[in-house]
Amino acid sequence: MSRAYRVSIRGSVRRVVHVEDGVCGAIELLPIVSRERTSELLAAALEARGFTVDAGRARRDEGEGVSIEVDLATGEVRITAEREQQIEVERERTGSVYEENDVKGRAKLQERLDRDLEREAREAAERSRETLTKALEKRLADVREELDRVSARVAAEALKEKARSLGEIEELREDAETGELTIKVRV
Amino acid sequence: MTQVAPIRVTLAERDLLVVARAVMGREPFAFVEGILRGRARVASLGPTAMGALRRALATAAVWKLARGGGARVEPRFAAGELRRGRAWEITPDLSLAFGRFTFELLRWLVEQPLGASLGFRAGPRADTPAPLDVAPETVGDELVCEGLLRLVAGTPLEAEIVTQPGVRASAFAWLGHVDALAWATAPPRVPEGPTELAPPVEVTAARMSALVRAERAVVVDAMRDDLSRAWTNAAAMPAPSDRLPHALGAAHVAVARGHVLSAFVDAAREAGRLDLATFLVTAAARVVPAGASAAVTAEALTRGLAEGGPLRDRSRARRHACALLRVVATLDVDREQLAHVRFFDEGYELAQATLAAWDVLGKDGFARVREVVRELDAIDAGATRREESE
Repeated sequence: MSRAYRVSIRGSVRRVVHVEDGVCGAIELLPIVSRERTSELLAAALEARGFTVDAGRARRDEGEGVSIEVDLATGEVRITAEREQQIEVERERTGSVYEENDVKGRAKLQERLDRDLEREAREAAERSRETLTKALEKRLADVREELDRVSARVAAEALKEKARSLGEIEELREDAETGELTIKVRV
Repeated sequence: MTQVAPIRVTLAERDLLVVARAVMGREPFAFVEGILRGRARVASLGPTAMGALRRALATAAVWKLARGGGARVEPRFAAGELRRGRAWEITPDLSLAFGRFTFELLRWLVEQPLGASLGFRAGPRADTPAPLDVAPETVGDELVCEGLLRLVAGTPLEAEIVTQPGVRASAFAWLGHVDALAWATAPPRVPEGPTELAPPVEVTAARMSALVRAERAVVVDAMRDDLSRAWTNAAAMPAPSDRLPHALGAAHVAVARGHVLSAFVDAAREAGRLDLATFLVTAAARVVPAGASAAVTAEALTRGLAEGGPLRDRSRARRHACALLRVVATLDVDREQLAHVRFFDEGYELAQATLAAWDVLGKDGFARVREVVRELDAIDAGATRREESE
């Protein structure tokens, strides 16, 4: 009669995973002045808010792996979050193996353990991604407000330039709180 | 009531005549389900049956156009003129020809055992219908395609009809039933890694261009009520269906909607027939009524989007959402241009009639539509609300 043994196998997974997430959007750029001039105004408005301008793009690091990049020609915005995460999973599996099937039994147990470890590593990576996504979501509303103000600033500067090109500005009133702009031009 | 003398036809010819009436909306699905699921052999139609088929198609076509919105007396454009009347009155020589496709489709419906490959009896030996490879050629063929999709909508046989190449080649069918046709080619499961969502290859610029000219344009104009209802129902992001319970399938349908509408409006614009897009403006007016908040409307229209998961996927899905409003937002530029057509310019009357029809949405309505689209595309649009995530 064959005998059955209780066997325990330990295993672990250690790896570094790269998790990332992001969104795309656009700053509304009204065609008040030429496209090139609009890009310059946008660059100036973003630089005033801590962006670094280089090769037609403005970029700002927000910390914690979050960064904002703006295409100055199109106004397209990319907000990305990424981080490297060390994942460590250790598990032990116990099962019964029969004397005459010892090698096969242990191999099967090892296979199940490897699958468990792989599944848990994937779940840990997904949890890390979810944390990253939540951190990104928390910032989005503020970023949107800020970019809306940038859009309004660019439009206001463009309108002033356009008004100057039409004639002599007699009156210019700007409400910083509401963003309302009134320009009287003598043509 | 006029008494109609009975005619003598074979059983197979009778089945074909009954199916023809059902496809044109004159009989319910339950009345013909047995015929569609069965097999019969229809070698040809005798002169009596052919005459009956012609009469059935002709009267049913007029009924269909009337029911779809063509019976109202209102300004309509045809043959370069704007006139007031019913769809068939303004074009007295309107010819709704039914071509070879119509006969082949009806014969296919009677001969092929539809539904045999579905359900618990399905298996390797189950009969699958031979594909319907002929394509619609005439305006009558397009009407029959659309009518067939309407007949089988929501029934177990729909799955086999929407995969038929002949049906999928009808631009009018796509305009009226984009969801059903798009679901048929949605990816069956979520693939690994990012996926490009391809628009339907059957919706070509040439097919859409034909749809806004000659008799087809008269039919599109006549069916404006039906089309408006269809696109009002298709305004919101499609929810994952029972067949495809994941967000990628819904996104695939959303891309198809956008492609169909963009292709149609581009064709109408090129043909100088933006009046044909009025059904879209009417649908948008229902979706974004006066007083509706843009944020609340955008939220309601994207309720079908899957929650959780990477923000990138949610954001991408929102960019494809609400094709109706996105396309109507582009019509605002056309509205401005139409308003600048002077009374001595060519097309002044049609421009004025189109503007009057688009008043159902109006300048304020177009602004509301743009606001909703802006909300859909906002950077924080796909994010879970802050108070929920803290």
